[in-house]
Amino acid sequence: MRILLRFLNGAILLYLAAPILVVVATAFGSSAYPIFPPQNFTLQWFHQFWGNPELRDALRISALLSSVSTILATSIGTLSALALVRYRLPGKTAISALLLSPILFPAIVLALALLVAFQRVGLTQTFTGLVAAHTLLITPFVIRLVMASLAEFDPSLEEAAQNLGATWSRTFFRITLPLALPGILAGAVFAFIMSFDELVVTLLLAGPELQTLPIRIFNYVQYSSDPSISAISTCLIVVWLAIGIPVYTRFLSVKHL
Amino acid sequence: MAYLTLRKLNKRYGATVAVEDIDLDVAAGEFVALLGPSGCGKTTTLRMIAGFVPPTSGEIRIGDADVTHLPAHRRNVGLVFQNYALFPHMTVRANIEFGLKAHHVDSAQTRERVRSVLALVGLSSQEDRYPRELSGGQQQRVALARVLALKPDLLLFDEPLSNLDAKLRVQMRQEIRRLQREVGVTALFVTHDQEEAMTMADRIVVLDRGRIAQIGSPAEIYDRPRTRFVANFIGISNFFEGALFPGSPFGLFRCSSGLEIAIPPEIAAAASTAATLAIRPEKIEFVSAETPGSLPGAIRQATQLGSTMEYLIDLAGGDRVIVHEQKRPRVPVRAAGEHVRIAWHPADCVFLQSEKERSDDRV
Repeated sequence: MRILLRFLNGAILLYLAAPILVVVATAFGSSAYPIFPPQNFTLQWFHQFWGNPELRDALRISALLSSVSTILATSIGTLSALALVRYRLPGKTAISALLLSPILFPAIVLALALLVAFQRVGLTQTFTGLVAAHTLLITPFVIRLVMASLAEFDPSLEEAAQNLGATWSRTFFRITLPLALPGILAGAVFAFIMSFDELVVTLLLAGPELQTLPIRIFNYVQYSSDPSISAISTCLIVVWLAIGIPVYTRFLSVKHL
Repeated sequence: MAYLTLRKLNKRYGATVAVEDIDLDVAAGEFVALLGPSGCGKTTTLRMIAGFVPPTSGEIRIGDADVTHLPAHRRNVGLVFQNYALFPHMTVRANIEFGLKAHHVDSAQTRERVRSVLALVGLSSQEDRYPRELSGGQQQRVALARVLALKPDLLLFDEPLSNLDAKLRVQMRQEIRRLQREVGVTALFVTHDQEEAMTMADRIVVLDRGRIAQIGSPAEIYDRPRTRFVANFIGISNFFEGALFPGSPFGLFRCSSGLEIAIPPEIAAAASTAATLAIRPEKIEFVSAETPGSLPGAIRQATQLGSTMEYLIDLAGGDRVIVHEQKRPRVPVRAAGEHVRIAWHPADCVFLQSEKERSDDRV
C-alpha cells in the first residue's frame, strides 16, 4: 500500500515538474525550434535572448514595474492587514472582503474595468497606470499572507512592550514589525511573482512603449518558435528558485496559505 | 496611607457590566490577591490599572498621582502576563534591556540593572538564551526580572502560575513572595486559585460578578466569610437555611428542616431573622451520646482525602452535612452506615448575608 502511494506521489510530482524540465532542456538544444530531447548542447539561445534589445528592454520594464508595484502593495497590504487583525473597525468584514475582492474577479473583467476607468483619467499606456493596476492586483495576496502571520502573533507581546514603557512607534518597530516580517517578506515575494507574471490586465493597459516581458514573450511565440523563449524561461526559473525556495521554506509553511 | 487606590471603578461593555463600583486601598509594600471565578472582573480590573482597558468611570491613583487617563506606557507599573509574553526574537538580556532602553536609561546603568535582576531571579548564566530555550519556570523568572529592572511603582500579576505544573507552581509562589518582599514593591495578584491566594496574599479581595464580595486577610476570608458565595468559593461549607428562633435568650436558629442550632448571642443580636448559617466541615466533631446539643445521624459515605477523611452524614431531620476529620494515630476511620452523633461550637457558626440583602445594598 505504502509503495503504491509513493509511486503515485512520484507520478504526480513528475507530472507537475516535467513540462518545466522539458523547457529547460530545450533551451540548450541546437535545433531551430524547441524539441525534446535536445540535440547538441549550445548556449546560443541565451546569447540571442540577451542580444535582443526588445527582450532586454522588456525585462527592464518588467523588473521596474514589478519592483515598484511590490513595494507599494507590501506597504499598503501590511498596514491593511494590521488594521484588519488588530483593531476594532466598524464594517471589518466588508472592508476585508473588498480588499480581497481582486482575487475573486476574473482578470479579464478587472482588465476591462480598469481600461474604462483609466481612459477617463488618462492613465492608459502610462507606467503609472500599470503600477496602479498591478498594485491593485497583488495587494490582496500581501494582505492574506500578512494577516495569516499576524493571526499567530500573540497580542500580549505588544501590551508587554507598552507595559515596559515603549511608545506606540517603538512597539511597532521593535516588536510588531520584526515578528510580522516573515509574513511580509513572503507576501512581497508572492506579490512580485504575481506582478512579473501578469499578462491579461497588462496587455490591455500597456501601450507600444511599455511592453513587459510576458507581453513580449506572448508576441514572440506568435510568429517565431525558436528556443530563445526556452532560454528566457530557464533564466526566470533559475531566478525564481533562487529567491523563492529560501523564502518559502523559511517563512511560508503550507498552513499559511 | 494607601499606595494604590481604586475609587468607584466601573467597566461596562454595552449593557454588560464587567466591573462595578470597585473600591480598594492597597498599602505600600502590601501583597493583595484578586480572587474570583472566571468572568468575575478580576482581569479587567488588573488591565484597567495597567492602562490597557479604559474605565467607564471611576478613578485609579498610584502614590500621589491620578493615572486613570495615563496611557499604558507612561504608568510605571510592571505586569507579569499569564503566558509571560517574552519577546521571542530577543535573548533574555535583550528582553530585560527593552524596557530600560524605552526609558532611556544609560548603557552603564542598563548593564548593571540587567546583571542585578538576573542575579535576583537566579538566571545569571542564561542571559544569552532565547525564551524558547528556557523552561516554563525560567521564562516566568525572566518575565519577573524584566519588570523588576524598571523599579516599578506597582507589580501586577495576571494568573502567572496557571501554566506551570503543580510542583513548580508551589515553588514559584514562595519565590514570587520572596522577591516581592526583597524589593519591597506593592503587588496585586490575580488568580482563580483559592489556595494560591490564601498562601501568598496579605489580603484577599474576593470578586463576584464584577463586585467586591469581601476584603480581608486569608484567615478572615476563610473563618468569617460574609456571603454564601465567599463561603462556597473558598473552601467548602455546610449551609443551613432558616430563621432565628424568636424570643430565645441564648440565640437559637431554627432551620427550615426543623433542626435547631445554638448560636452565640452576639451573632443572634446582629443577624436578621431570615438567614443562612454556615459551618466549615473541619469544625464539626464526632461526640458521645451524652454531649448536650449533639445531633444524631448516619454516615452515608466515607471518602479518603489523604491526611483527612470526608464523611457525608444524613442527619435525623433530613439535612445532610459534610464533616472533615483529621486521621489520628491508631484510630480507625469510620465506615459508611455507622450511626454517629455530631456537634460543633456555636462560635464556629458563621451567619451569611442573604443574596437578597446583598442586592438591597446595591441601591
